[in-house]
Amino acid sequence: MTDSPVYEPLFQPLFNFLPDKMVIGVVVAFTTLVLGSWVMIQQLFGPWVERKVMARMQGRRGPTYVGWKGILQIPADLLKLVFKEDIMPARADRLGFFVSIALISITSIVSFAPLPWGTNLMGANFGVGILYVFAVFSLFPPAMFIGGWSSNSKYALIGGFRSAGQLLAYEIPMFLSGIAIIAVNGTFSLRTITENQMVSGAGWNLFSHQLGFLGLITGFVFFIAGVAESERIPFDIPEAEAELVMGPRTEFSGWRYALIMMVEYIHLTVNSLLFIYLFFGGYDAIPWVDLAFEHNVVVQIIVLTAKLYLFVMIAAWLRSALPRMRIDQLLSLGWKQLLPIALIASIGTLGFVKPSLLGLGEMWKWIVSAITFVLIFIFMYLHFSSTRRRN
Amino acid sequence: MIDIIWFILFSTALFVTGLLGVITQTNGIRILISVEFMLNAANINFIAFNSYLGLVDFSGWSMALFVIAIAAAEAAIGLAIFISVYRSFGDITLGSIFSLGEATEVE
Amino acid sequence: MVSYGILLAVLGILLVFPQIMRLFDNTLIHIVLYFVFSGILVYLMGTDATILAPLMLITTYFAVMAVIETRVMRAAIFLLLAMVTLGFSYIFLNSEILTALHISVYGGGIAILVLFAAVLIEENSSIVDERTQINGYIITFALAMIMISLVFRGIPKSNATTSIINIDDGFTLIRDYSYFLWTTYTHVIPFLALLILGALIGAVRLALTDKEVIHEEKEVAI
Repeated sequence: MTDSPVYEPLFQPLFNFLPDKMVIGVVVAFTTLVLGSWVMIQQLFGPWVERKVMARMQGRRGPTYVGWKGILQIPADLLKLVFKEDIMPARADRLGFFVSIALISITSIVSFAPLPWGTNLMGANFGVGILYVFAVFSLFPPAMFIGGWSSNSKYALIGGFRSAGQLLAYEIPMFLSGIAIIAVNGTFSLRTITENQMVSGAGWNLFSHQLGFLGLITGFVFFIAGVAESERIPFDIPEAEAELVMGPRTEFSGWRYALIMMVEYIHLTVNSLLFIYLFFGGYDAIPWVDLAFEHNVVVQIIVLTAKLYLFVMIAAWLRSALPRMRIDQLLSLGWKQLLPIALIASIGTLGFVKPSLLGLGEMWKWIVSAITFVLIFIFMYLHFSSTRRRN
Repeated sequence: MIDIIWFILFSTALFVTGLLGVITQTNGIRILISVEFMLNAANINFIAFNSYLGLVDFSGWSMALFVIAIAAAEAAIGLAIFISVYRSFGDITLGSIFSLGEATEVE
Repeated sequence: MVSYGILLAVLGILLVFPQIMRLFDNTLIHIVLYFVFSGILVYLMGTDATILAPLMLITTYFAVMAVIETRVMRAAIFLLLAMVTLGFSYIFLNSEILTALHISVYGGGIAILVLFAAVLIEENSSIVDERTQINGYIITFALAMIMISLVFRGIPKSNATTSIINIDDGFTLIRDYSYFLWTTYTHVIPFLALLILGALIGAVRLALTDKEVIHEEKEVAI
């Protein structure tokens, strides 16, 4: 099989004394173990990176006490939270309380399946890789809503409404931008999209001339939508730490709180990874050239982790620099500004589909790209010149 | 391979569950939920036959896609109607809406 | 060909399992019962259905709980869970595309619609009288047995074909499928679009009706 994991030859001797299906099951279980552990280790060190970066930007030092430069802070927090008392409000709905946490955690972890960490190192090579991730993303709003409602608290309910509204609003620009890149590459599989960016002469989709530089706008829209989907500042009004405590997750304590914290960073990880695969080259080390060492699995894992931490740092940078947006500003940004820009940019990008769409020659593709840029500038000028008269 | 009869059994179980809900429930939203199950049961049948007869012209998927779209539209409009009825009559129990009539009094 | 008795046994287990689960309150007993019944189902259905049988069992459990729960919000939560597990069982029918579509539309669309409506409408519990419920159960079992009997006589020896999907080719499949939809069903898609547009406009119009709100003191503050 071309998509068998790299270490499958290790399991060759097992074929002799176990039935075939069982050996495949063993390989799958081992892959799950390896990738799952790697993902969980990122969840232990991602928040540490964020806290240190945020602290330095605010003129302080962050965690320094536990372990070397505070690197064991997150495992220590996890241990503390797991042993705390699990308090449930008196009239909270027990089913909803449990189901919202279970649904969010399970769907977040399950969405790692089609994401490749190396050329042959991925959970499952579906035919519909990224569509599956998008489908799983659409399960977050109901789960947040159930969590907010079942906490039997007014502010949790308000947070649940706002969270569901925000997540619903930013799914659409994200899916549209993703679909533009999917259509150009002609595949749903994230590995193939990354391999297309690794080809010599093809830059990463963010600044590739093969997309007519429309990747800039599409990637920009996808990045903002991704930050909003992970509910990071400037889009964290449902949480709103100084105002609503934790929004729909106020009443969860103990191990449930630990799960919620983990899920928050898993969301950040998955959204960053999607941006990295679609626009930033995936596990490609150097953009325009194709060197031999770039196909080594270990190099690919290191490159991908480095890019992931780059995005964690960018998220921490945004968090320490930007104020929080109000809920109406946030929803208006999603529906009234990002959605039209995503539509125009996606339709423009469709002009660059590889077997040339409608027989467009090379020059006509660049004209399509220029027209798209002009349209977007016109839209933004019209929109901002009209809103300046309000508020 | 899994015999097709198990998928048909599955869809039968879901269908009669939905039917049980439609027969016994009086709350409008719960009836809508039960109707969704009945539509889903039909969906499973279409997709099962699509797979087991090897239809390369995707007829089963097309029917399933249309059923999903129609179920979504029906759920949206049904819930909007229920909210509007709740505003007028104050009650969503399907057996008692006609007897409240046009009065705006609350019991 | 599977025998009639095994079919009835599997159907009976699928429909009776939720009632047995309702008798107990302890979560550990629930988990043990689930594994026991999954084992019985796998024994009856053959080991090819090792992963499908527990999925079927849990989906039917959520479905039955959704229709016999007394509180509307809980029924909506069970609807969401049943749709998610049902979506995952489409993978066994070689249609991963429909898995993604089903979870997106039902989980991300209809479930949240029902949840919002269940919060805005404050009729919280519906009392079902015993006689209607017993009648309902009798009709349910009778109809299930009749449907299985009809199907049992109607299906010839079925041979499952191999997968029609080449696993790296989801995009080509959707492209061919869309081409097929737009050329063969050209007369259906515009009507479907008009239907959904009508539903959208109707829903907005109904929601904006300015009738007198009766329960003024119970408004939900958003």
